[in-house]
Amino acid sequence: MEKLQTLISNNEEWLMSRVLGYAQDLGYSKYTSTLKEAWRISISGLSASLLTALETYRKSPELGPDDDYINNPVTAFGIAEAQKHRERGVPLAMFLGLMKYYRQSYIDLVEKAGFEFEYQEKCCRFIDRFFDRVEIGFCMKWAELSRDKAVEEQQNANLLMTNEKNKYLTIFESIADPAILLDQDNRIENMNQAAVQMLNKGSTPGSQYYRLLQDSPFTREEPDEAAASGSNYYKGLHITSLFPWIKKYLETFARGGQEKSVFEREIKETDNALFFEISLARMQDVSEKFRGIVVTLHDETGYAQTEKALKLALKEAEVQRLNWQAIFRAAPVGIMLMDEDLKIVQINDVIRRDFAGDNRHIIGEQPGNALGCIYSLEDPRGCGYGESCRECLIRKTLLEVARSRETVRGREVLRAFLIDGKEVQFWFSISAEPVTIDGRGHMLVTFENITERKKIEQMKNEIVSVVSHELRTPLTSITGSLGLLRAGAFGDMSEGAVDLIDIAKRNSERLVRLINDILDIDRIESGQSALELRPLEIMPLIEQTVDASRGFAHKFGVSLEIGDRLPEARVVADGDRLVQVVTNLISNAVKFSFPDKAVKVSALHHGGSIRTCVTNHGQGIPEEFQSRIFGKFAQAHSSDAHEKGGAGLGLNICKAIVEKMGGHIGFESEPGASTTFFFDLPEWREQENGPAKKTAAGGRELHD
Amino acid sequence: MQMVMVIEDEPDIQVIARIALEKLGKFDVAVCGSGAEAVRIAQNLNPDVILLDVMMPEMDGPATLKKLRENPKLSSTPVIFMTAKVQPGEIERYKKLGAIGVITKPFDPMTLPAAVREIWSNADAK
Repeated sequence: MEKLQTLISNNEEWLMSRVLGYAQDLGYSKYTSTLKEAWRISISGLSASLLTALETYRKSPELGPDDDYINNPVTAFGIAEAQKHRERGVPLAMFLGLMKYYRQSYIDLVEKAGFEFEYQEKCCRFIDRFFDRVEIGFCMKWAELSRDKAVEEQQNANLLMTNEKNKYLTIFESIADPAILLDQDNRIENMNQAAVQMLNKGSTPGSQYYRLLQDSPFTREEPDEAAASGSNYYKGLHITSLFPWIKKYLETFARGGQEKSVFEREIKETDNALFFEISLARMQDVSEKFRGIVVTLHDETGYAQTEKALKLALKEAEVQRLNWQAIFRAAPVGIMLMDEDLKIVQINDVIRRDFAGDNRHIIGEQPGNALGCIYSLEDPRGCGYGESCRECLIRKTLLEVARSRETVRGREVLRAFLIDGKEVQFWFSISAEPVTIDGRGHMLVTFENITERKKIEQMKNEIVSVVSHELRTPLTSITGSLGLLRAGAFGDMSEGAVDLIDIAKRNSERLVRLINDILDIDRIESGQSALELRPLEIMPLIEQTVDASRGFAHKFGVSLEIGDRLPEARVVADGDRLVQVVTNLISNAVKFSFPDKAVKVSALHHGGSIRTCVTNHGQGIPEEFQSRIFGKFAQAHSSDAHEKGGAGLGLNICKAIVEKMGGHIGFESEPGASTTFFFDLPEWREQENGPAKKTAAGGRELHD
Repeated sequence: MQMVMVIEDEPDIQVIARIALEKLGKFDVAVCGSGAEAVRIAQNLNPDVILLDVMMPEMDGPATLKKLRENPKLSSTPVIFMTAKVQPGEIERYKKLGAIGVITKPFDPMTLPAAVREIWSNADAK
């Protein structure tokens, strides 16, 4: 009977559905288990027994008068089932009736299998005899059990059921999420404590359920009144009177046929608005006994609030970002953000507008390539590879900042760029500031177009040099002619003539000096005369200057001497310019000294600097003049110009020179007694300082 | 007497130079107002030394010198440039062009003759 065995083994699902169908059609499902599992177990057990029987009996298990129907493995399952159902209080008639349909299901299976007629008959017979045995065994067992036992079993069963009911009631009430059971008309059958509390009415657990037992659902108020009066009693209410909006979800759900529907909703029934994730689930019932919907609401308010706050923060951050981006982009100078390999990360509008005329690739490029520097065209590999790139001041500045992580400001560069196919040359000032972004080193680089300013500067310089040339040329002819006359080129002159010529000559020479001073100060201040700074010993320089000034001093009846010395002390300075300063200070000291007095020059330590002092004994500097003394054209008395022959620029020039060398100039004066002018320069010591030669602080490197 | 030829376009400087060189320097002086004139006149003169202004319109100092040198009589005449701007390296540059020295302008007429003689004798000494 192998084919039958196989058929039965492979069709458990079919058999289960079949017998379930019979049970539903005939109304047995009213009384039977609602879960599919139970039916499967029955079929499984029966099938196993049947298969055992097929093994044991070669032919059909015909019924003999003396057969043992109790202690037979074939009927064992059936007997066990009998006992179980008896305890549950299932009537015999009902059990046997249902068992008939189990039998019928197996017969139906065989008939469906399409075996050849004889075999089919054989199988049906076997099945019939098998089920007969099961039924007989079952009936015998049933009769064995006494009536009292039956009652006791019934009571136990009831108790168990009550306990089960209580357990599930407890579970239902304990669920933290609000849950509402709806019957098949979508009226509220029950709701747990959480649901009632959600509706902001206080309640005790189980209140909805027990109300049902006390009050008749037909005697309480109309649904809307119940809700309006604030009563706790929701049972029987249509769910839509509580949540009108749920109507369309229920309709969709009913039409849809899914087991479950989930959606989100804000519910304002309560004092606080709350956000819920709501799910509708069809009650799991295979026997269609409880048809209805379980509505659960999961409070997502916290989550929703967090999400809202997060969205707000993100929006805020976005606004901030846009603000900063707007500032960055709108800045009046060109700004680029580069990484340490000089790759451009970000640019602002000025860069894009002024350089990216022909849609050049900018982000990710080296600066030369991005901006169209003509040097970058020298080598096919672009910026950094060309001959000229080695000396490029732009690259040098950027690499310096990248390496040292120190700011560099205001390097002036003249460069030509290929913009929109045309070569355009202009001056710009480049500054670079190290900045850390995303934990990595970057540089903020500004390009300021200073071509206009440079043009004006150049114009001014041209004017100054042209003007000075035009002023000087006639003056040399004047002084030349006067000099020749004075030297007797055309014979001796009368005393009066000599005096007049001297006056003319002196004043011409004064004019020349004035023009020279003006040119000098202009060159120093505009940085054109770059100072050549080297470490040099201060004492030899002082001595040399003092010697050179002795003749001048002698004319005023003033002697020169050197006071405190600092042999081997060194400063970083431009030698010629330093001489110019000391000479000027000595000259002033001599001019304003009382006759027969000495002017003293000394050098001493002052902090980390070398201080050079020039002291005289003379009229001193009037208080009201002291604040102006280093200004342009400053003279205490207008008569001084006439007597002392100065134009008032000397100290201004000295100040400019000293400050360009990184030093400081000052004075102390006691009117009527003495005056000391001094200047401090940082001392240079061998081991501390690096390269000996560099350009002055603030000095600019001219175009490369 | 030794003759100095002064090639200078500015009239006032011409006069001053002449007076200084004649009166103080005891030179014979011939003055030209341009490079072209100098090339023409120099044929017939025989200056012992030439003072040549660098900044002149039409033909500047160096161009004039080149032209003068074409004349075999003047191929080795000492020439001193006169110029307003002198940067350190420029003296050498002028010397390479064939001058024996440079006098800066504006020159002091009182010392002009002495300066000329000094540069001249230094060149001779070599």
